[in-house]
Amino acid sequence: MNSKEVDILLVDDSQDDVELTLHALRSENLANNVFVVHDGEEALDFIFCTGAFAQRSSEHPPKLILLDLKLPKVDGLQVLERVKSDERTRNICVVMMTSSREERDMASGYNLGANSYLQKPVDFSEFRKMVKVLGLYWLVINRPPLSNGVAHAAGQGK
Amino acid sequence: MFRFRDYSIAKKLTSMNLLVSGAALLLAGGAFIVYELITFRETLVANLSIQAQIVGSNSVSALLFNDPASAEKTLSALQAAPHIEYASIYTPDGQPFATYWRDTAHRAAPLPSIPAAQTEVHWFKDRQIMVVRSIVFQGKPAGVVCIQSDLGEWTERLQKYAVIVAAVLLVSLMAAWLTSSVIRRSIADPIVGLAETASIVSRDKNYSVRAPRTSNRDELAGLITTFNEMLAQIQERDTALQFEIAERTQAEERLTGQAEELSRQAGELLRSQRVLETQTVRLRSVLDNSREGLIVADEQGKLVIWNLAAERIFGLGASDLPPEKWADHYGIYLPDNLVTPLTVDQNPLARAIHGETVDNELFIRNPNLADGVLIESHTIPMKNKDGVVCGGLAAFRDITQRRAAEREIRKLNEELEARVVERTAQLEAANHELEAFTYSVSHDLRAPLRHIGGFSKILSEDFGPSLDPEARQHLQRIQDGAHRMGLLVDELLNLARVGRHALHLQAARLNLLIEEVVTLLQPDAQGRVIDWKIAELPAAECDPILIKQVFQNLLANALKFTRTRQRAHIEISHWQENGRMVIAIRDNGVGFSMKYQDKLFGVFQRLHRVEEFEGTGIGLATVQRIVSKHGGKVWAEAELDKGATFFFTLATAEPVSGEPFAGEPETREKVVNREPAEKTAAAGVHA
Repeated sequence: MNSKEVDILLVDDSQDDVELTLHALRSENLANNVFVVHDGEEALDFIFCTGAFAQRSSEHPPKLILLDLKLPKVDGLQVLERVKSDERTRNICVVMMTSSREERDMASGYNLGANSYLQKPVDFSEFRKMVKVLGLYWLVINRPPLSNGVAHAAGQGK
Repeated sequence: MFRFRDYSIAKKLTSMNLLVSGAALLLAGGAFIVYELITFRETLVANLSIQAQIVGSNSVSALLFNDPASAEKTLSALQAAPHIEYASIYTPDGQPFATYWRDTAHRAAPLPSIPAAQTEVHWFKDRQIMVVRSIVFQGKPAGVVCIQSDLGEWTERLQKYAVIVAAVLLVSLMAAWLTSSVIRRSIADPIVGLAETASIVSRDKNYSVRAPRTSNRDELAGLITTFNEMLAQIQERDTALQFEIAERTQAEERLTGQAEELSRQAGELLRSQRVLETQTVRLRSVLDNSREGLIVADEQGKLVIWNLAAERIFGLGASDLPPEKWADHYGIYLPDNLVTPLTVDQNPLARAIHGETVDNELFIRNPNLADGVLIESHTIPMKNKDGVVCGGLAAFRDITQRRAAEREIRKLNEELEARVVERTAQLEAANHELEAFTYSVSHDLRAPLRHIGGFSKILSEDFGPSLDPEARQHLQRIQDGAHRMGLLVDELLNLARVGRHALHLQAARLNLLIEEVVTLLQPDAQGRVIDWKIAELPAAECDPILIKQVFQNLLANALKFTRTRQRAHIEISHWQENGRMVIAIRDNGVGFSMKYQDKLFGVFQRLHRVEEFEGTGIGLATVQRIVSKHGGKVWAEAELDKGATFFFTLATAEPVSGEPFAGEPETREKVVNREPAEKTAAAGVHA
C-alpha cells in the first residue's frame, strides 16, 4: 500500500463522513486510489512520510487532499498551514471540505492557501454532485505542476 | 332800455353829436319850410289874383258887349297855367257868363258871395284855392271873375323842400358822426385806455402796465402822464415792498428751520435720555438678575458696581474700602489655602485695575454659609475709549455645587466604567459562547444531519428495490426531515450572522441589488408568468449585502406565495415619508389574514402549512432584524387570498458627487469579493 500511488488523501475523523464521501467517489468511479486518515497528525505523517508512514515513498504525493476542518490532535487548518508552508508540499492541491459555513474558517482557509473551500451540503444528492465535479476537475481537468516537488525536497531533506 | 348815462363815453359823444346837429338841422329845416310855404301861398294867391284881374280886364268888353264867346276865348288862355282847374265869369247880377274847365266841362258853379266892401276874396278848400274878383269898369262893377286852382304846385314844392331838408340832414348827420369819431379818438379812446389800464392794475396788481399815451397835448394827455407816473411810483414801491417781503419771508423761513432743528434736537435729546433711562433700567435689571456675580471697581479701587449675585455670593454688600483690605473684609482665599486671605497682589480685581486679566478659582468665606462658596472668577481690566485702563471688572459664579456634582459624577463614572468593563467582559463571554454555539451548530449539527440524509439516501437507492413500499416511504420521510432540518439550521445561522454582522453603510443603488436578486431567483420563476413592475428607486444609505438579503427574502416570498396564480404580479414601489424612504413589495399571491400579522416576523412563525408552501419561518425574522439594524421598520398589509404587501423603510442616501454608488463597478467588486459568504447565505434561504 505504501508504494501504491495515491490520488486522493481523504482526511476526516468522522467515519460516517468518510463512508459517505467514499460512496460518492465510488459512484463516480473515483475511489480507486483513495487513502483515508482520521486525524491531522496521521495526515501530516502520510504527507511528509513520517511516523507510521516513514516507509512510504515520497515520490508519489497525493494529487488531491480532501481536508476536513475539525480534526482531532492537529486540526485541518494547521494541516493546511504545514502543507502550504512547506516548499515540498506546497503544490499539492488542498480542498477544504467541511460542514462549517463560518466565514472566519473560510477566510482562514483561503489565507493559508487552500485551493478550494467547499461546504458539504446536507442533501446527499447534492453532495454526490459536488464530489463528482470536484474529482473530475482536480484529477482529470486540472493540470498539476510538472516537477515533483515532494520527491526533490524530500531527497534533499534526507 | 339802455339808459344814456350807462353808455360808454364814445357812444355818449357820438349820440350827443348826432342829437345836437340833428336837432339844429331839423329846427332850421322846419322853420325854413314853414316860411317858404307861407311865402309861396301868398305868392300863389297874388298870382291867381293877378290872373283874375287880367282875365277880368280882358273880358270887360265881352261883358259889355255881351259876347260870351270872346269871354270864353279869354278864359281859355288860362290853359297856360296848368294848375288852374276852373274859371268862370259872372255877370254883375251873378249870372254865369263864360266858364273854363281844365279837364271836364261842368256847369258853372253858383257865384259865391263877395262881401260888398271888398273887390276880391280867396279861400282854401279841399286842397283847392278859390279866388273871386270883381271886374270894375269905370268904377262900376262889370262882372265877377272866379278862378279855382289846385294846390299841386304847392305840394310839389313842399315835397322838394322835404327831400332837400332830409338830404341835408343826412349829410349833416354823417358829417357829425365822422366828426364825433374823430373826437372820440382824441377823447374817448385815451379815457378807455386809461380805464383799462386802471382796471388791469386794480385786478392783477400789475404795476408794470402803462396807460397808452396820446399825441394830444390836452388835459387827458396830462392825466395819462400823471397816471403813468403814479403807476411808476407805485411799481417802485411795490418792488421795494416785494423785495422786503421776500427778505422777511426768507428770514422767517430761516427762523422756522432753526426752530424746527432746535425742537428736533430737543426731541432727540429727550429720546436719547429716555433710551438711556430705559437702558439703565435694563442694565440694572440685567445686573440684578444675572446669576453671575459682577463687581466693577474704578481705577482708584472704588467699587462702583456690586450686583445682587455678588452680594449673595459674598454674603456682604460693597463697602468703601481700599483694595488692600478687600480680601480680609470679604473673606477671599485661594482654594488651597483657607488660612491666609489673599494678598493684594493675589487679588484678581486689584490686578485687573493694573491691566491684568486673571482667570482663577477662589474660596469665599461667606458669613451666611457655613461651608463658604467656591467661585470661578474671570477678571479683566476695563478700558476707556482711548484704551487706557480705567478700572476692573470681575465676573464670577458659584461653582460649589458644580464642583460637588463633578466629584459625584467622577465617582459615578468610575463606578460605571468598572461596571461597563465587567459587563463587557460578560457580554464578550456570552458572545463567545454564542459564537461557539453557532459554530457548533454549523459544524456539529449539520454533520449528523448529513449522515442521516446521506445514509437514508444510499439505503433507498441501493436497497430500495428490496424494501417494501412502506419502508421506502419511511426512508423518504427521514430524508425530507433531514433536509428540512438542514434548512432550519442554515437559516438560523443566517439570522445569527445578521445579528453579529457589523453594518457597512454606503450609498447603494437598490435597483442593482434587486436585479441581482431577480436573477438569483430565476430558477423559482421557471415556467411561470410573472409581471415584474419595479420602480426606479433612489439610492439608499445601507449595507448592500444585508439589504440584498432583505429583497431576496421578500421577493422569494412573493414568488412563493403567487405560485398558485396563473399570472403573478410583483411590484416594487417607493415613496418618501417623514424623511425616510418607504419601499413596498406587493404581490397578488394568497396573502394572509391580518389577525396573524403580529406573528409574521417572529422566528419559526408560519402562517401556511409546510405542505402548501415550504419554508422555515425564519426569512421574515431575518428581514426584520436587518431592517431594524438599519434603524428602519418593516410591516405588512394583506388580505386572505388577495395578495400581500410588505413595507420597509430605509434612509435615503445623500447623493455625493464624485463618490461612486454601491452597485457601480467599484463597489460591485467588493460585493463580488464577499461572494463566498453571500452565496452560502443565499443558498441557505433558498435551498
